[in-house]
Formats: sequence, C-alpha cells, structure tokens
Amino acid sequence: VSPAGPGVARLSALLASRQTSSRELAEDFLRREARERSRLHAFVVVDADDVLAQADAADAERQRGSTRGPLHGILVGIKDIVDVRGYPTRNGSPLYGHTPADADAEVVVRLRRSGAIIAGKTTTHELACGVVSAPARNPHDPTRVPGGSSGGSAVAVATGLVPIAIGSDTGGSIRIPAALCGTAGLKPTFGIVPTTGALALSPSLDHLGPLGATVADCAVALDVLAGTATRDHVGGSVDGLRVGILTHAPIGPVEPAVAEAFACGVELLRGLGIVCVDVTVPELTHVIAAEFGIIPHEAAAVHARALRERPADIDAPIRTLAAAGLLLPARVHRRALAARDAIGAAIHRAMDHAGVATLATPTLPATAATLEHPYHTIDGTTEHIGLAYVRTTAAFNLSGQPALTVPCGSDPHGLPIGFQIVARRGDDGVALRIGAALEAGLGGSDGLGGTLGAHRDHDERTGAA
Amino acid sequence: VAESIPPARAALLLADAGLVDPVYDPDAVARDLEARLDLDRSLDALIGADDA
Repeated sequence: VSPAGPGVARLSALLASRQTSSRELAEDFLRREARERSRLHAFVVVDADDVLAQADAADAERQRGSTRGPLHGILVGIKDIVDVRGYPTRNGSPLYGHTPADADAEVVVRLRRSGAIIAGKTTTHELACGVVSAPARNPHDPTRVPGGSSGGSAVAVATGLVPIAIGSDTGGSIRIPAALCGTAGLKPTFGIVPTTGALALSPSLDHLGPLGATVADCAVALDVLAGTATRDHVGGSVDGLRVGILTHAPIGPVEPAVAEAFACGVELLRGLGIVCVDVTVPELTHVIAAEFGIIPHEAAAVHARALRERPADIDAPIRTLAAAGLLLPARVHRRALAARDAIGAAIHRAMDHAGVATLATPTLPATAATLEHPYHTIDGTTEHIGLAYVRTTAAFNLSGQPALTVPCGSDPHGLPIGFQIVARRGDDGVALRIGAALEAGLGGSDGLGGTLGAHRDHDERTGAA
Repeated sequence: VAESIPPARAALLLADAGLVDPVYDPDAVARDLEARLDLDRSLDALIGADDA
C-alpha cells in the first residue's frame, strides 16, 4: 500500500520536460480536491485563485529559464496549525477565528523560497492533540480514522493530491497518520526544523516535518526545511549497516498482521546486506509516564487563557489534560523532563552497546481503527487508540531522534502498516537511506505503487506512463 | 497506591488556578489528578523518588 500520486522526482521531470505545467498540476489538484472534499476532508482551506496565481508565477519563472529550488512548481499542503500569510490558522479549534495570518511561518518561507506552491491548509486534530483528525477520513476505508494529529496531511498525500504535506509531531503526529494512510513520514531530529509561526502543543517535544509520497520526497522536503543535504543519502548503499530490532514493551504487543509485515521488512533489510540484531531498552516502559508528565504543563502554558475564559470551547480530553498542567505541582514536569533525559540516554547506550546506527520498530501496534470503536484489543488487552498508537512513537519525541515511517504492507482489510526507522540525533540521512532501500525493495519508490487510483486520471491527462 | 485527592481539594485547586467555569467537575478532576500523580510516582523506578 503506497500513496496514489507521483512523487516530487517524477513531477519535477514532467515539469522540466514541459510534459506538464504547474498550472495543469494546480487545476488537477483543485478538481480532485473538490471532488473528494465531502468524503475525505483532507483540506480545511483551499483558495483556488491563490493556488492558480502561484502556479502561473512558477510557470512564468520556468519559461524565463529559472527555477527557485527543488520544489519549483510542486504543490505542498500545510497543516492548519502553521501560519500561511493571508489564510486563517484555525488549529482545528473554535478558539481561533477567521482572521488571516499576517506572515508566513518560517517553514512556509523556506518552502516558497524553494519554489513550492502552497496548496492549502490541511485538517488537524483539535489543537494538534489527538489521533482522530475529524472530519478527515482514512482514504483506504472512510469508516476509519486517518490518524493524527496531522491527519489531513496524510490523506492529502495518500490520495495523491500533493506529494508533500507538512505535519507536526509531539508524540507521533506525523508518523501515526502516515502509517495509517500508507505514506512516508519523517519526524526530523529535534530542533533542526524551525517551529516559528506554528501553534505549540508542548515545545519540549514539538517537531515539524514532512509527510511524503516517497522517502525521497521526505528527504527533499527536509533539505528545504532544515538546510540539510539528506537527499544525497537516498539511494546510497546500505550493505553492512547495522540495525537494532526493538519489539519489546511498550513497542509490543502488536497485531499479528503488523508483526508479520514487520518481520518481512526485517528480512528484506537482511537481504540487502544489513545486519539486524535484537536490542532491548527496559527504560522504555516509562515512555508514557514521561510523555504525559511533560505535555500537560506545557500545553497549559500555551492555552492558559482559554482554559480560564473559554474552557467549553476545548474538547474535554484536551481540556482535562491541559488543566492538569495548571493544577499539578511543578515537580511533576521537572521529573518528567528528567525521565525524558534518562530514556534518551538509555536508548543511546543500548545503540552503542549493540553497535547499531539505527533502530527499527513497527510504526504502530495496529492499523486504522473505526471511528465508531476507537480501540484495539491485542493479546486480550483493550487500549484506546490515543494510547495504543503513541506507545510505539513517543519514545523518539523524548529522545529527539529522527524517526521515519515507511509503508510496509497491509493487513487482511487492506489497511496500511508502517515500518519505523530511528537514527541517532543529526543522522536523519541514515534513516532516510535505509527507508529508501526498504521502500525500493517493496516496489514503492516511484510513488506510484498505490491502490487508491488517483494517479490514473493524472497520468491519463499528462500522458505519463 | 495513588495519592488521595478529595473532590473538595480539587475544587480548591481549581479555584486557585482561576478555573471557575462549571465545565470543570471537581470529582472528575480529582480522579484525573490522582491518575497523573500515580504515573508520576511510577517514574521513581527510573529517576528515583522525589525529595520535594
């Protein structure tokens, strides 16, 4: 299961060879977004006039013989917690009105500088705090959640509306929807992508990053967002690299289909010459206590005024979480930060001991739950998805390590499964290199391996093979 | 064992924090805070007991 649309490399080649134009891509986007809006709700705001004006400007620049950067003329979605000049930032919440932002967030500045066309604002779970992202729906089965909180970004990429969308990740909010919708998604190393101009949830843990049709799309987006050169790593040899396989609690237990897909992914890596060894980090059993010891105090600081003046306009679970930050003693936050440091140190000690450059885990213990029953029962234990999905991802928000999810098969219902690759801080390129090798091994690296079919009408119209 | 937070204490905490809207239910808040303090206490095994 892979995204339904072409990746950046393919689209850029079509643009460079004049087989299509940014105007054509924009019109195609607008037509398909309008068609799917009432069913999947990937976007909350699309301004057709603005999209077409940006596309025409990109085409005009190209006709003059210049391109701004690696995303010239490519449509990119922006999660609706990130400011885009002239668009309201509503954060999925009635707390925020329709006043347009008067400046772009720094990530949007960088995207525009690279030539990207801002396609619109994607649906977010309220205040970037949750895994449902209503009213967005999972494109593989609209009775199921797309994940969150960057759910709209995942739907936009999975359906081929855009090859890249920006998300945020405090406990898994890029990787969770990416895995549930069948896209690639990268939570970069903490701090390398600026968060200026984006709504905070918990600044000690917040990351911005890309969801992409391919791993290469995540790499090119990261290079634009962070000024790195990770795309040079994609396609590089992985022979002889060592990967630590991490499956014990709280990563496990996982659903049988997830375990099977993950085992197949590990075997594929072994077939590429990667040495896979088991790794154990007992300290990970404290991940949930640390994560949910940090978030309340920081979310309370962000939303203190709304908690006092408009609490009824905050969804109950988020209100309860943030209010706890105003009521609990500060030592709870201080101890959770100490636990975060201890967990990060333990992960790096274990990686050193095993001599591994990366870790691999199932991205999530289960596939997409239904909206009607947002729970999973695994090995006789029933968990709400708000905890189940986070127990495999949050450790790497605490450690600040780059963590990539790559589509890796599907369950018997055809729902996507993700494979998570985690590198050392600053080694985002290593995670991307291994992820690209896995993706290529699974036949998905051209961004056209999808089952959703949206690429077909695009290819028919552009004449692409 | 969770630290005991009676609803009356939760009501005082809410008032002190300026959370006076009736949407805040002291009984529910007390239960939530007890669970969170229990989670905090579980960190003793990782970082030691708090002296404060």
